[in-house]
Amino acid sequence: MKLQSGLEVVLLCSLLSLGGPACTGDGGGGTGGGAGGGTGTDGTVSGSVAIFRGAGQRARVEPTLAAFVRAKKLLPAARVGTSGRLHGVGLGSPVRAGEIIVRFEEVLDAPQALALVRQPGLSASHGGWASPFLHLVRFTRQDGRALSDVETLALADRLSGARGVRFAEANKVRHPMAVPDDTLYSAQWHYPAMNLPAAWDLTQGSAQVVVAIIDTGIVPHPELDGRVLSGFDLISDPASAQDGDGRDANPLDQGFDLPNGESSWHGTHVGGTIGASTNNRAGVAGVDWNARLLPVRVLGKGGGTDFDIAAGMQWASGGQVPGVPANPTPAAVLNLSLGGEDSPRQSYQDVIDEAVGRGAVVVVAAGNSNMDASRFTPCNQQQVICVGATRFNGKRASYSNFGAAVHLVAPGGEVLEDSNGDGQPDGVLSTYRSGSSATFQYEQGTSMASPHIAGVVALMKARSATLTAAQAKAALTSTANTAFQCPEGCGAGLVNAHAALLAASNQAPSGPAKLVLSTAELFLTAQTSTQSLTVSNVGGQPAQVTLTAGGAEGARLSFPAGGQASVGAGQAVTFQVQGNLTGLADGVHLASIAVSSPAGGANVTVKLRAGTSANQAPAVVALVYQDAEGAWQVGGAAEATAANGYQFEITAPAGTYFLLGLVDANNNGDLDDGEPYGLWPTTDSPGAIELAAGARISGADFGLAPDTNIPDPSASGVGAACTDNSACGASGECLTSWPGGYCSQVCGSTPCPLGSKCIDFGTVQACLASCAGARQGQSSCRASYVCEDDGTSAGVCVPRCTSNADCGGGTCDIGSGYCG
Amino acid sequence: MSAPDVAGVGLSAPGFGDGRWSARFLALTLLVLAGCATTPPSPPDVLAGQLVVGTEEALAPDGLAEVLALEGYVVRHLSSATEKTHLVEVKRADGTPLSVEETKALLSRLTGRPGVRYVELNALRQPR
Repeated sequence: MKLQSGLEVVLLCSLLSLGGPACTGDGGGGTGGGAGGGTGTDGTVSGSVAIFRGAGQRARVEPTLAAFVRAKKLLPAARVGTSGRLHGVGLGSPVRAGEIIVRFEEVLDAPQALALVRQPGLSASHGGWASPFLHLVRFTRQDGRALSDVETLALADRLSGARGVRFAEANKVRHPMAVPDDTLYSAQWHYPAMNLPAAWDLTQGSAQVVVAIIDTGIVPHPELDGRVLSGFDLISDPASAQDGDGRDANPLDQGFDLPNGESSWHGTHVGGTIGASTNNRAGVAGVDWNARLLPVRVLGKGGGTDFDIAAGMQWASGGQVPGVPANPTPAAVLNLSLGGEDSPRQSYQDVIDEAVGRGAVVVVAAGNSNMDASRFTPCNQQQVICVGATRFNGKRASYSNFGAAVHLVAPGGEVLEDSNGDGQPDGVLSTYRSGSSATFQYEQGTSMASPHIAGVVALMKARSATLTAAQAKAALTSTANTAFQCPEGCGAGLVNAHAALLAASNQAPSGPAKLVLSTAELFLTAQTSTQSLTVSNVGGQPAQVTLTAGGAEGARLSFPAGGQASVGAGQAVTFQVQGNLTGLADGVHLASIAVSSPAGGANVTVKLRAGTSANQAPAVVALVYQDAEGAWQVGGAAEATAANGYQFEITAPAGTYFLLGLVDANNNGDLDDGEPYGLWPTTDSPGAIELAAGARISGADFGLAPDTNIPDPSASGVGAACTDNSACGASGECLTSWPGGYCSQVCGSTPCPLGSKCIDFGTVQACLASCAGARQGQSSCRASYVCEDDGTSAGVCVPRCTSNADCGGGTCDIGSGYCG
Repeated sequence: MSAPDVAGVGLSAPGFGDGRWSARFLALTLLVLAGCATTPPSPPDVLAGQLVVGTEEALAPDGLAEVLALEGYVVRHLSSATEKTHLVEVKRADGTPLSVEETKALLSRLTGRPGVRYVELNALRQPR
């Protein structure tokens, strides 16, 4: 967000001309009495601000020339054995003992092939062909004992040099994991957190399943348009509907629904989580890739009424609403990210019972008041699935309602936190609108948690159309990760999408152990020195998992609850990772966690940030009001600093105010992109403060966060072709030695732009373009590039190898472009 | 936003230091508050004069008015969510609207009438 320079100049001049001290030297307090403190008519407002401190937001270390020189020297090595260098979520593939894939120079039959690869002390048998040249050979010791992984890998190296052999490589087990190629998928931390990629291996949904979004309606968005059904507007009051009439067939969100006259585009965000167009190389992914979305508009200006909400549920599920055309596409799943503090409503219960009787599953949000959810409807209704919200680490979000009414929890986000150090708020990223443009936005709330569950239920329905509401609830709650239950009541715990899908179909996990991680990156600070890392086993055999700290600052990491565990079939184990930042120099430092298991291994990058003065930029908090001419004025203001815990106390004349805070982190007098600001109690719904003479109002706590609207996810430029640095933006660098040039930038202490990922090359970290379909070819990468596995299965774009020389002693499979 | 009871402009409010910061801050304030041109209303949780009525049987508007007849009041059917779930508006016989408290008082008078399963206030809900 930028001020228009002309506007700023005008404002500054006009304000200074009012007699501010910098202009007149009178040291006084403006034009009128009262301000400046101490009069008998003043009151005070006190509270504190919580400021988003994402990685790199204020500890920004500008990329240095030396860093770029290092990067340019080292990054070309990324084409050398990349699969062993890139680290992320998802445990790497285990070697199949004794099995070697051999590519011969000539077409051979089985005896000829075995003759060429004969090894002393080993027995060999032919395992088949992948092509006339490509054979599988199985080796054992002559006494029949199996080779170890290390022996198998060494054997592959030996055979690579054998006469008549072009290359040989160990045969490794690859695990399918359907991960979408959407540009912003890598920023959707909330999907791996609920084990969703493994669930996508079971199903990606069905177009036969309809999910109703009973909400504010929906707006056109390229990520939604292909999925949205006609829907209906059931707001009966034209003044609330703002579209000129009452009920009508157009569920277009008219906006202006928030108390301050702003637009939430709430239904559009919710809809994107359930079913944004997925695997389309653009935008975000949805939980369900194929279900159709039915917008049912019940929330208008100022909210929505019980009656319209009841009518919305009735119509969405295929029930008759007098005077309204029948719904031609009844929904199997109803999502209601709405509610209010009240006892259960019989009007709701009647239509919920009818909907459930028709086979629908009703999923509702628990509410955002940090209170007992049983006080909120529709969470307290019977036959619903009520969903609380979690933050990145799986724990209950600060705002989420709780208690016995909550059945389970799902990611809802916490936009003041950055727990993975990607520099972005830990909100739920989904579809949004800015002005007339389709955009994307991080949001938080149980409104965001509920559609995650609605999406999972839609996936369940794709596998079992007759699944009842009770069966869906039982499958979800019986498989939730109990590590994320909470004393105040988080239901069964955090949803485990993969396990829930299996349970809904009465299936047990099968096959060898297959492990996935909840995240590839953790961010530890003095304020948040402990984070969670969940290892899920989506296979049918248990696996022993061991965590080992490493990297430059690995000695600072510990695992308070232990670093070893057996992960049962279909189970998940959550480890605690703690960082000791004592004595650590200011700045961002790196460590890693090696996660090893017989089922494979992976590394988790851990950033540790010690406080710096740059991190301690103060917030300015002010009581502001609009004067008789409609101009905004400041009634009183104060600084909130790190030294006082970001608390503030403002004295101002009696009046009606908004409470505003902001951080000018770079002290340039401008509110730049990424600089936090906020209004009490929330920026979306600011509240007026009535300050009486002599009153002391305390507890005015609120958060400051950067604007999270993302207008153009492809704007980062990382991975773009270039011939020199000028094509790569202010902080970018053109890697001219890569085919066609490749825009990158140094990361580690600074976050990568959305759509790219920070990759650790050992002595330098650099942003590479994100892609999906890892190890499956070009994917969304440019020509001459392939999508390499960084462990997340999302992958990053790296140059194809064209010869063994590109693979640093390894072998290049020229056909695929991957190093072995 | 309604005008406050203050005339001063806090260019040197306590803790706010020099005027340069104040001017800059006010400029930023204008930017942030660009969309907040009016006082946030305190939306009523309950819509005065409106009742949600559940009936034992499917009823047409005329039948509902008969069931809900109240001396001194006019009951008007507004809409239906189902054949047995209706929204009605109640006004005094002279056409003047009811307050929220008066609306609440009608609950006990209407609940338990033959053919009436329940009577509820029509409350506002918000995105959550």
